[in-house]
Amino acid sequence: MAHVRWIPTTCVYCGCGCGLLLETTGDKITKALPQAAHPVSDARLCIKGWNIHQFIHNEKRLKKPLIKKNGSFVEVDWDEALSLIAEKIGSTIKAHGADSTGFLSSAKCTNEENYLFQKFVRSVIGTNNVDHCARLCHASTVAGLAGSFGSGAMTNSIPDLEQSKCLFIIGSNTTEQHPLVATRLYRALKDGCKIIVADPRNIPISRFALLHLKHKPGSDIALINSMINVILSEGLMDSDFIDARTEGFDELKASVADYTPEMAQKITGLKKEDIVNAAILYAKSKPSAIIYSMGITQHITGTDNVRALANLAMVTGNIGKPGTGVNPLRGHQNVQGSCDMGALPNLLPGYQAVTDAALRGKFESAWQCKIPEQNGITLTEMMGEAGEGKIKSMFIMGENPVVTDPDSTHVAHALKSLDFLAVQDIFMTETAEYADVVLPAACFAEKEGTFTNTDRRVQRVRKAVNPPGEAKADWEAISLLASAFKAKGFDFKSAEEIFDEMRSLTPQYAGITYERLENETLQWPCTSETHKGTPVLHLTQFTRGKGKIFNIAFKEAAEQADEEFPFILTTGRLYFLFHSNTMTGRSPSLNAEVNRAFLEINPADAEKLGIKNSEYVEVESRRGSVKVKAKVTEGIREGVVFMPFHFAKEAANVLTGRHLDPIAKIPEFKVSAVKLKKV
Amino acid sequence: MDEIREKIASLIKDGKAGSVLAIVKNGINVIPVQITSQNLDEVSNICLDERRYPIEKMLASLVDARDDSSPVGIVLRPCEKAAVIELHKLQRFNIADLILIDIDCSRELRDKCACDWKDDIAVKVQEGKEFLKDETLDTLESGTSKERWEFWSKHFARCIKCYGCRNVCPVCICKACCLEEADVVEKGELPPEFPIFHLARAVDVAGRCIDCGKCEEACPVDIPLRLIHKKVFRDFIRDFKYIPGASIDEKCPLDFIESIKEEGD
Amino acid sequence: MKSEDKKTPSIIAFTCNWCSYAGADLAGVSRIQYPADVLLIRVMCTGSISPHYILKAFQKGAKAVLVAGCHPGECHYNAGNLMAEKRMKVLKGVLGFIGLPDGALHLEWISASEGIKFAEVIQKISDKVKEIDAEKV
Repeated sequence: MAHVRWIPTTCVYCGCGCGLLLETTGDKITKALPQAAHPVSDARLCIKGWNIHQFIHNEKRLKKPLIKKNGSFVEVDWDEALSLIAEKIGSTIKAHGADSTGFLSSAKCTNEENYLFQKFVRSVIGTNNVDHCARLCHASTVAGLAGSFGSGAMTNSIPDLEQSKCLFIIGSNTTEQHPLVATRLYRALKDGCKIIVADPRNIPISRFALLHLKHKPGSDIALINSMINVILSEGLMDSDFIDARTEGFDELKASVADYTPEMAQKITGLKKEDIVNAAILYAKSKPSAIIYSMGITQHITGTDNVRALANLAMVTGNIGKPGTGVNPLRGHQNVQGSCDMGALPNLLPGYQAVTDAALRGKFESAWQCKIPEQNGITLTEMMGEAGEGKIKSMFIMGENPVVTDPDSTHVAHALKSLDFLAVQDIFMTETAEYADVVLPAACFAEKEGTFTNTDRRVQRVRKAVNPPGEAKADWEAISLLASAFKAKGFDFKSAEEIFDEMRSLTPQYAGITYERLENETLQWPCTSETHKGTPVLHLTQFTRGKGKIFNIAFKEAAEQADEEFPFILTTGRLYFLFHSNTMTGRSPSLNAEVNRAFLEINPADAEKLGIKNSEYVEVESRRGSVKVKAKVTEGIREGVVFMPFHFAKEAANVLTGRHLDPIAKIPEFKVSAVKLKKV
Repeated sequence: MDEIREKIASLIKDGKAGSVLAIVKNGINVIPVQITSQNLDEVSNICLDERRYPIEKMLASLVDARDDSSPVGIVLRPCEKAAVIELHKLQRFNIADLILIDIDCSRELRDKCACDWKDDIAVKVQEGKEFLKDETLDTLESGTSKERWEFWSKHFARCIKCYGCRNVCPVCICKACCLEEADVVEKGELPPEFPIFHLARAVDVAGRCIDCGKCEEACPVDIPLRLIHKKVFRDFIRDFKYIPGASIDEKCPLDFIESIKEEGD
Repeated sequence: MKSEDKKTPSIIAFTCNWCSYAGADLAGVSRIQYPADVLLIRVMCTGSISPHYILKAFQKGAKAVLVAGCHPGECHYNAGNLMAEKRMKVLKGVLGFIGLPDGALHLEWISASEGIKFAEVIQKISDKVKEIDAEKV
C-alpha cells in the first residue's frame, strides 16, 4: 500500500508565510491544503498556496549539473561541475582580487542556506560582495527603518492588524500580493475600521476604502509630509509620545510647514480636501496602522519614503501597540530571513555591521577567517560593474535577474560580459540560460530548514519527498562547493546544525531552536530559550532608544513624463502568478487564470491614441520597447500605465531603468517615462 | 477518547482495517495521519477536539492508494458521515470498503457550528419538526430581494477566487470543474464574476451538499457562504422530502427521471 | 450583473424544439404581437438545460429568463420536462436568495398549438420586468 502522508510546512510563495500540508502519496506530492489552525493562515490559503504542488514534479526540473560546452548544456557529475566553478572563480580571484566576484543569495532559500551562503562568500571567497533580491524590493525599508527605529522590520504582527481602526494602505495591493494579510484587513473593516488607500490604480481593496488617493507615482513624500502638516496644524499630534520617545521633531515641524495641502495638491494631483481628510482620519481613528509595499520602496527616494511613513506613525504615537505600526509587507516567503541572515554586502547576520570591527571580529573568531573591512557592493551595482568589466565572475543562487532586475537589455549585456557565471536553481530559468555551469537544486518541499515571514515569524519547512535526479538542497551544494575550495567549517550533517551555529552569532534568533519550533512559531527578537518571541516591536522604546524623526524633502522621480515620453509606466504583480514566474508558470491551474501580460491604460488616454481594448500597443522607454495587449480601464490614473512584470516574453523590465536610491541602491521600478504607439 | 484510540489500534492489530485515517496532534502540528501497522505509536496522539479537515477527500486518497482490498477506517463526525454516504452514492468509493468510527463534535465545536446534524435532522424531519433557528438566514429570507442582493454583493466583492470552498467541499469531486471553464466564469478576474462563480457551485452540489460548513471555514475573506448552502439544503428537504446524506439507499431526486406511463402501457 | 452589456436582450427564452419553440413559431406566423426584446434559444428538451445557461444569461445582463417546455405527460422524451421542473425549483430558490427579484425566472408549459399563450407569457414577463425596473429607480 502506498503510504499517504500529510507533511506540515510553510508556503514558498509570499511573505504571509501560511501553514500548509503537502499530501504525499508514495514519493509524489499530489495536493496542498491549509493547516487547520495556524497563527497567520488559520485553515485558509490563496490560490497559489492551494496549487503549490503543481510545479514540484514538473518534468523540466533540473536533475543533473550542467556545463556549457560549445554553446549547449551538457550533463556532468557534481565533481566536474564543482571543480570547474572552483577553478574559474579561483582564477578570477587570483588575477583580479576577490572583489571582482559577485554572489547573489536567494530569498527563496531557507535561513540556513542564506546563512551558509554568506559565510561561504565572506570566509572562503574573501569578499563582502554578497546580496540578493531584497535589493529590488525592500532595501529601502531595511535602510529606512533601521535609521528611524533601529530595526528595519515590520513593527506589528499580521493577526493584530485586525484591531486597527484606521488602515493607511499606501503602495500595497494587499489583496493580490498578501491575501492572508488582507484577510485581517477585511476583518478590521467589518469591525468599523476606516480604510485609506493611496495607489494610482484601482486595486481590489480600494473599493472598500473610505478614501482612495490616486496620487502621481513618485509623489509620496509630498502626500505624507502634507498629511503631517495637517496633523500638526489641527493639533492632532501625540505630543506626549513625541516628547518621550522621539528626537528630531522640531526640525520636521519647521520643514513640514511648507507642505500645505495646496502645495501637495499640485505635486500629487490629488484634491487638497482628500489629503486633509486622510490626515485627520489617520490621526483621529486610533489605533492606526500603515501598510506599505513596493509603491513606497521602489523609488530613488525609497529610503526617504519609508522614513516619511515612520515620521507619520511617530508623530501620532501609532507605534508599539497592537493595531498600529509601520508594516512593510515583504514579498518572498523568506526575504525577511535572507536579510536577517546577512546575505547583504554591508551587514552580517542579525544586522551586525560589517564595518564594526568588534562585531566583525566575533564572526572572524567563529568562522576562523578574516572578513574584509569594507562593505561589498549591491546587486544593482554588481550588474553595473559586470557590464563595465569590473565584476568578472558571478554565482547566482535561486534568483532570476534577467526577469526581475531593471533594464533587461543591460542585464543580458552584464551577464554576457562576465568571464564566468554559475547558477544554482530548480528550473532552467532565463538567467540560468546565460550560465557556464548550472547546479540543480531541491525545492522547498525537498529539504528541511526554516523561513522567516514578513511579521518576523520563524517557521519550519519540512521535507516531503526527495529532490529529483541528482538535485541537492542548496545548503548541501554550498557545503560541497566549500570543499571544492578546500575550505573548512562547512561540515554540516543537517540544516539544524547550521541553524544552531547561526543562532549562536545572531542575537535576534538566539532563543529559537528546532525543538521549540515543533510547538510554536516564534517572532524575533527571541533572545533566549525562555523568551516567548516578540509580536509587537518598540513597545516601550525603539530598538535604537528614541525614534529618529528625519527631515524629509520631496524630490522628483528620476524620470518625468515629457514631450518625447509622455506617459509614466508603473509595474507590479498579479495575484495568480508569482514574481519571475519560475514556479507559477509551470502550474496549470494558475496559468489557466492568467498567462499573458497586459498594459492597463485609462480610456481617455486610449482614445487619444486610437487604442481599443485587447489591441496591441508598443510601449517604448529610453531602454527598449515591448509589444503588449492593452487593457483599457477607468481604474488607472490618466497619464499612467501599468504592466505586470511576471512575463519574460513580454518583459516590463525591458522598459525600466537603473535609477537607484542613493542609500538603499534600490531601482525606481515604479516610474519610467514611456511612449505608446498603436501597433 | 481512549476508547476510540483503543478501537483504532485493535482494528489495525486484528487486521480488520489496513489503515485508519485520524487526526493526530504533535506539538503545534495537528494533521491527518494514515495509521497502519507501521506507525501504531501515532495512536496515542490522536485528538478529536481540534478544527476540522476535509477528511472525506483524504479518505478517498487513502482508498485509492490501497493495493489490496483491506478496509480503510475513518473517525467521523455526523456531518462527515453524511458526506461519506453521499460519496458512496456518487460512487467515489464503496462504503463496504470502509470502517466508520463515529464520534460527536466537542461541546466547543457544536456551539460554534451552525449545522443541522447535531440536531438529529433525520429524526426531526420525520417528526415534522422545525429546523434549528438561524437568525441570519431568517433575516435574509424575510427581507426584500433588494436587501438580499446588497448583502450578497457586498460579501462576494471580497472573493479572491482561491477555490478553497470548492477544494474542501466533500462532495465537489468533478475532475473537470465548471468553475474553471472559461465559458462559465471569466478567467483571471478579481473578484470573480458575481454571482455566477458561487451560484454555479451552489446549484451543482444541490442535493448532495450536506451543509457541513467546511466551505465557509476555508474562505480567506469570511464570506458567510454557508448560508446559501444551508438554504439550498433546507429547501431541498422541504421540496423533495429528501435529506442529502441521511440514507444510503434513497436516491437524490436530481439523479433520476421518473418515467411516465404512456397511454396504453 | 453586467449592466454595460447593452446588447443582451431583456428576456431570454429557452424553448424546447417539440412544443414551446413550435408554439413561439406559431405566434410569429399568426402575427400575434409580443414584445420584441426576447432572444429565443431552441433546445431539444428543457431537461437538457443546464442551470449554468440560466446563470450565464443573468450574468450577461438578461432581466428575465423563461424556460418553456411541454406540458407534463407530453414530453417528447417522456419526462425531461419533469427534470427541468426539479432543477428550476432549486435554481429559483437560490437565485431568489441571492437577491434576484421575484419574477426574474419563469417556468411555463407551452404546447405547439399554444401560440397565443406564448405571446401572453412573454407579455406578462415583459410587464414584470418593467415593474422591477421601476422599483429600482
